[in-house]
Amino acid sequence: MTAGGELEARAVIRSFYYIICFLVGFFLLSPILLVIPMSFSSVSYLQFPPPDYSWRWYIQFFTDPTWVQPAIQSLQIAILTMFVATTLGTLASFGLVRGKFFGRQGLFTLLISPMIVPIIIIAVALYALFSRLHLTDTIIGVMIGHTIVAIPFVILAVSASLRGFDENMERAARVLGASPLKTFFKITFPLIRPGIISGALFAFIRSFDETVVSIFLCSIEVRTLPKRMWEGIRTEVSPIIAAVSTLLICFSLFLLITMEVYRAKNKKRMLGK
Amino acid sequence: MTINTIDAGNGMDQSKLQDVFIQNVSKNFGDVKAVDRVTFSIKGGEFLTLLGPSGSGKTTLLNMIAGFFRPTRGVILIGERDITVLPPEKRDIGMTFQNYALFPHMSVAENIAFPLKMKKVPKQEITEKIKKALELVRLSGFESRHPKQLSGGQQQRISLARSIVFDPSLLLMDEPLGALDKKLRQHMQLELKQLQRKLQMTVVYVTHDQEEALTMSDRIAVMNEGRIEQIDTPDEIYQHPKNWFVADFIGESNFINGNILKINTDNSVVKTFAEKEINGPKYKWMTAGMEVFVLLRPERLNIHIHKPMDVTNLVSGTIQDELYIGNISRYLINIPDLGSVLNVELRNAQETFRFKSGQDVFVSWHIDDTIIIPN
Repeated sequence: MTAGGELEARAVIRSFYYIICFLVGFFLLSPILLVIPMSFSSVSYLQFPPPDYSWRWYIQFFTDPTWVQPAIQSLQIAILTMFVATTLGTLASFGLVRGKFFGRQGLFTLLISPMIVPIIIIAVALYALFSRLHLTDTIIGVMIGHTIVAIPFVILAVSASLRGFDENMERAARVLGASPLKTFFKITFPLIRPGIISGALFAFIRSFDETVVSIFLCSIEVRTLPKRMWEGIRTEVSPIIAAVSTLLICFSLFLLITMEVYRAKNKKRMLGK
Repeated sequence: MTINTIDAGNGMDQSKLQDVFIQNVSKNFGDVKAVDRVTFSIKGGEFLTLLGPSGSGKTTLLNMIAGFFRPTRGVILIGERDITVLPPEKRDIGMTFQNYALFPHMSVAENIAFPLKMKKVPKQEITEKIKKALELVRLSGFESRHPKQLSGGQQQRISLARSIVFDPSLLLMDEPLGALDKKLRQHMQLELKQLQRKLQMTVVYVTHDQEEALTMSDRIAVMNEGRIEQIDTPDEIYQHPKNWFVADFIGESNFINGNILKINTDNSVVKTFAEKEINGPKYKWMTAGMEVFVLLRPERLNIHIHKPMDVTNLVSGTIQDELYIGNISRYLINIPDLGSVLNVELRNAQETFRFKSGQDVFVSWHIDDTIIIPN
């Protein structure tokens, strides 16, 4: 084969590669790309492309208390879950990474298991337990349920940053005159903070998006946004669902971008820029 | 506690120099005796090296002095202060690590300021001390850099500056040059030694590199299996190793098995297993018939083409191999008289005669170059 022929073959392979990448990306993004235009629909049924565009479904979302109330409750629960899961997950990570005890690996797998076990099993089990404890349909009950499914994310993020942490830095701080508490706040915490923050954000998003556990544990008093959406889809198929979805997508995107910006800043800080 | 300002010109405050005492210290991890009844002292201003293979207990001992491990038994004193159970932050000790352990989220200045801030030194004084410490390690002007922007050698200097800026009673160094390349390591050895002399720091240095230990130390403690085999000046350790382990660990050696045949008034005679008699010095511990090792350092042996006169120790043999190393040549000489192969080092000057493989030669050495150690 001539050199020119080889170059040509390479160009063909490369364009083929780009086409595949584009198709995979399109496949992953297509639901989102459909939902966003539909949310601006002017008609009261789902149609793509919409006959005309308007803000009516967004206005309805922000004025209808049956939507605003769940949104507020979801935020409350997500924030509570974030704090509880992050605290517990961080403490657990210290034990799992630094501790030397029998069954450490087993315990790690157990704490991560809510990520692997089918969520419906956790939801049913929680429902059975919480109905006896009168915790169903309470903010605390839903929060505990969400914490269980959010903790693995915190543990994975924090234990990864703890494993990369050089314990000699703590020793250096101690010998240079810092008490254990000061060593934690001046050295350990600032250095594993990126891990803790990304764990916390994932915990928040996990709780905010959580549907299955919420469906089992919520009823009248407590109703999260995903649960309200679920009910909405079952009773009235209106573009308001698309509007809420679009809002959720934007919110998640905002959180992820915030995290990336923080990470980049942190990296720069370490390099003294 | 008073904090003295480091004075680059005059060294540290003399009155602060304190001896360190390690008394009968042991450390067990389960059934493993990592450190086993170790006793020695470090004089104020002395550079003492803990030398040994990995697992010899040198790092465990250092960690007990630093306060990271509590001894199972025994006492550690700095001057008259019993620090055995004090937490690390109350010991007034500086420490450097092999991987430097600089705080990556702080600038060079903040790293060096850390121990001063912990000891609540006033702000202006801190700025001054940072400047002086950086001058000492020859990194003036690096205040605002971050550790990740520095080379390994620079990081270790900052780590050193951070460890001495608060004028501690004792400086511990855990293989500080282990991560550097050979050239830089040798350069840093010299610089570190000069700085230690200038500031009259009391240093406990841990390394497994015998050359480093010989170069830098006032005294070396050779450790093996949790015990100190010998603690002496580098010269004594090399010239008069007390036992086989020390002799084998430090430098190159030829070992010959034998028994003590005679003990005269000012010398002794060892009969090797191959029935050859070797003249050596006399030691107090010797008794006739005792099994011993004769130790011959390769650079103390002479090679002759013709049989020399008036030498106390002479054997004949055949050159088996030559290893050319540049400044020296190493000859492996088969000696039927001793039933072994001797390793002999000759310095390569311009006119030095080079021996060839297969050549028959004589090997001689002075009576004082026979080192005898008990088996």
